[in-house]
Amino acid sequence: MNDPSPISHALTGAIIALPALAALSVGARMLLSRAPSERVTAVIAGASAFVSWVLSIALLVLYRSRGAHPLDVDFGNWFSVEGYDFEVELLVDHLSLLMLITSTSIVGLVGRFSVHYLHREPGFHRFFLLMSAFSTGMNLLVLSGSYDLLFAGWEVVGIASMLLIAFFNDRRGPILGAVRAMISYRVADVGLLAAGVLLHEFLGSAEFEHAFHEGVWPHAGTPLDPKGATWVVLALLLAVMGKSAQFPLSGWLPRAMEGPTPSSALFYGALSVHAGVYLLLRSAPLIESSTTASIAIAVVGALSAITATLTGRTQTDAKNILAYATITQVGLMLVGIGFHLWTWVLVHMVGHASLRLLQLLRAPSALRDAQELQAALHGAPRPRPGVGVRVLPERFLARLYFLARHRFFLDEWMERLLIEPLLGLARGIDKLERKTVEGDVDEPLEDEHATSLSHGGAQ
Amino acid sequence: MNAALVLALIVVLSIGAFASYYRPNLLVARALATLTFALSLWAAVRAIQHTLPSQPGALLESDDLSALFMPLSALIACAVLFASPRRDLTGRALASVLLSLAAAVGAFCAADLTVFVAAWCLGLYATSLALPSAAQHARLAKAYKVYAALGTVPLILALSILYRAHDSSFHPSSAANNLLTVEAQHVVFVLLALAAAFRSGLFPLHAWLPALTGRAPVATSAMIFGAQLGPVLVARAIVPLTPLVAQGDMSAFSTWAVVSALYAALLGLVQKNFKRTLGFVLTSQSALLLFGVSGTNSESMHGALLGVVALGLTSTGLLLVAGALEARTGSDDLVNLRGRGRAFPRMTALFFLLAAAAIGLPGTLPFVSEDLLLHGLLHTNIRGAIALLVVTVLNGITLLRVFFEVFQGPTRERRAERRSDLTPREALVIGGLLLVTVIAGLSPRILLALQDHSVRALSNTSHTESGRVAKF
Repeated sequence: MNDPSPISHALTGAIIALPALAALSVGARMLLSRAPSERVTAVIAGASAFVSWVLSIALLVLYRSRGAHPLDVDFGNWFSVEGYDFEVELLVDHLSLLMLITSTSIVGLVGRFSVHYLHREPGFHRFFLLMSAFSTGMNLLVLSGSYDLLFAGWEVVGIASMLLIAFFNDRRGPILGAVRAMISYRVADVGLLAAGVLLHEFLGSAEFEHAFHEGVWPHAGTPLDPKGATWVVLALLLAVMGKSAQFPLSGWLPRAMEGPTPSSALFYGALSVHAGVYLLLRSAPLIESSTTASIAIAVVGALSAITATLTGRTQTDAKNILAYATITQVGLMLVGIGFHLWTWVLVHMVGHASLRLLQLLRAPSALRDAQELQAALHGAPRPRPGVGVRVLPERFLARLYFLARHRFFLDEWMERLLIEPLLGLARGIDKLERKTVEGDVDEPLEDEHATSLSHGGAQ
Repeated sequence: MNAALVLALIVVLSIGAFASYYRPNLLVARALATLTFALSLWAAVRAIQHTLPSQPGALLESDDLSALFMPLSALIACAVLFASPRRDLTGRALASVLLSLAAAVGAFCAADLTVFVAAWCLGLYATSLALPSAAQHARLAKAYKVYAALGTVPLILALSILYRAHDSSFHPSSAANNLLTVEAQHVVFVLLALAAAFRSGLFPLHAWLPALTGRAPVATSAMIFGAQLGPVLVARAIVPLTPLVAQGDMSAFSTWAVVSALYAALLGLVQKNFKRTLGFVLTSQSALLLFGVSGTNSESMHGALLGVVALGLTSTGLLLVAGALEARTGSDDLVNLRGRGRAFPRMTALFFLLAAAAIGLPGTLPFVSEDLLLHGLLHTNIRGAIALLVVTVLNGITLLRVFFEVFQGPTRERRAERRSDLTPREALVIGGLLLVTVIAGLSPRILLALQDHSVRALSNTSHTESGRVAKF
């Protein structure tokens, strides 16, 4: 239902624009002032997060008052040429509203937490700038009414994410983690772009109102035939593998825990990692029309869940354990999507986001809690090993532990089969060209920590 | 701007270049570039208000395409003259910039292939002026001359064939009178395509471009990437002068362009020098613009022409940052440059934003350009569209990798030496380029309206039915 009323335009526009304005303000203050005040930055970011949350509640009230029918909020063309228009259209329905309220709530809570957690941290202002930028991207992603516009939000979320992984930029580890995440994102985002291209090719538009029939999510149906839907969903699945850290592109997520705890909680516990799940939920009508794509989603989810849960059990770092637990749960959500259990997955996603947010925010103090618990249990019997440990042969367990500890060598296989041959060929050609054209070849300096692609993040 | 004014501008810039070579005067050079920018902007505003009729037989003509690209070239010249490191702005460099600008004005306003070739040669000479003269770079200078010859000889041969036919005017009525046989048009197409391939750095005519970017002053590289004569040659000359074969031959040309873009993007992944890495990324982007303009439908042509503007703005900004960093650290090696973010926060922020814009950050002009390119190509060449995505990914990885390498992480310097970040003037110029990229991206209607007439004409010409009587 097209909603021309100014109220819906004002609400949705403000929800997206406010965090963007906050990011610009904080950025401008950082550029212009030698020592910007933490208090002012916290007020700007906090106020924008709070007002966004209030407006999202107001949008919910408006939605209910309109009979809870999906609302298309049209902002007109961004640009148009003969034969093509880029429409800026937002969609308000119960899926986007639920995700929006979850997102604005979590951003507000994490922002409040971070004011004290990052007090006197050199990157205090940079954190709030990136958090506001992330919020802009997330709100745009959730409210978008087309895959083209969703991609815009998706990119902003990705950029904020990689910059926050490299937050502690005086150490090498976070930089390598950020490079690793960046490569995974860039490669996977081809899928989302390709899905948009395919929809334009098949239907002439990537807008949801053209990709799906009129109806209530998730049973709206699609005019696309099953073959076309399969290709589109498989392309989307590639994007989800990257953003939501699913098999085999999951290696970046544990490395992303190098960032500050609030960003780990916000991005990799609560919101960014679930953006892929949201994308698939939004694409429910396409998935329902393609059995092949549904199976593919379920298989990817199952493989992610199995490998991640096994790997997580070999970790000794609290945040890494939580990272693998997140991958496991998101994998299970994908299995649910494969079986078209839309409401289950939605509840699972919101519940998981909330729980993981809490766990990650508490992780720094978890060690102290564990020590206190151990002291309190002094003399108590040690916990019994699990069923698997008691039943399975020891050699098998040892081999499984070895594989899990090395993340099943996924990263190594991808580097050996894909990345190294490509880069080796490129280096050879480059050497030849330099010799021919410039008559010299600059040998690289000896550096065992070179951040070439083949070593990016491999730890 | 009428032809007399254009000619006067070219002459004044050339005289200014000559004078700068022997008696360098930065103030005069800046004044000339600013004057050119003001005049070309005025011409652009007039072009928006009135559709300028083209005159048969004219040698120089200011139309909507030139109204789009002239201010761009002048803006880039102003930016490099105001923000390049002082040590790079020698007499030779100043002369090179002013001559390059004169050549760009001539090429963009050329209504005849003869004038275009003259401007082309002037541009090549301008670039050669700025080549490093040190003995260890002699091979590069020699290689450049070879590549320049390989790119210019075909252009001159094409010109001679057109002279034999009738004339070399780009005007539609003159092109109709040329009446070349299909075979002759194929030959002219190939010759002009070779010239465009050299200028835009298509494989195997590409190696000079990233090598030069790595060694020459940033001002020279910025002028090369800012004045994209390759797409202009396709749009102005190839399509109107070979209407019977353009649409058919373009598919091979576009395949060549996208493969070259992939090739350059791949090599960009393994570079170890800052400016050379940028050189490969920008060469890859240049090839993509040729790919887009050969798409022959209005969306891809709009995308490619917008892409020329986007590439000019972002490449200049990125190169200026690279030049500023090299001037302060004395190094161009990525390993040596590690961890400079703390010392140079303004440089870090601007480089990141420009890099993000260059790879298509939503809200910037490159995003609009790539979106139009993609949607145009998917109607004519869906495999090419997928290849475009891959190139964009690879270039994005390269640029962001460079950002993290250079501006993040611990520094290798044992002693923390005090070095100044970007000066207010440098930050203003580079920030200004970024701002223009964002504003044009958020509101691209003016640029699209400006180029609409030309795009429609090109699109119609490339789909003309072959019902001509052959004379030669």
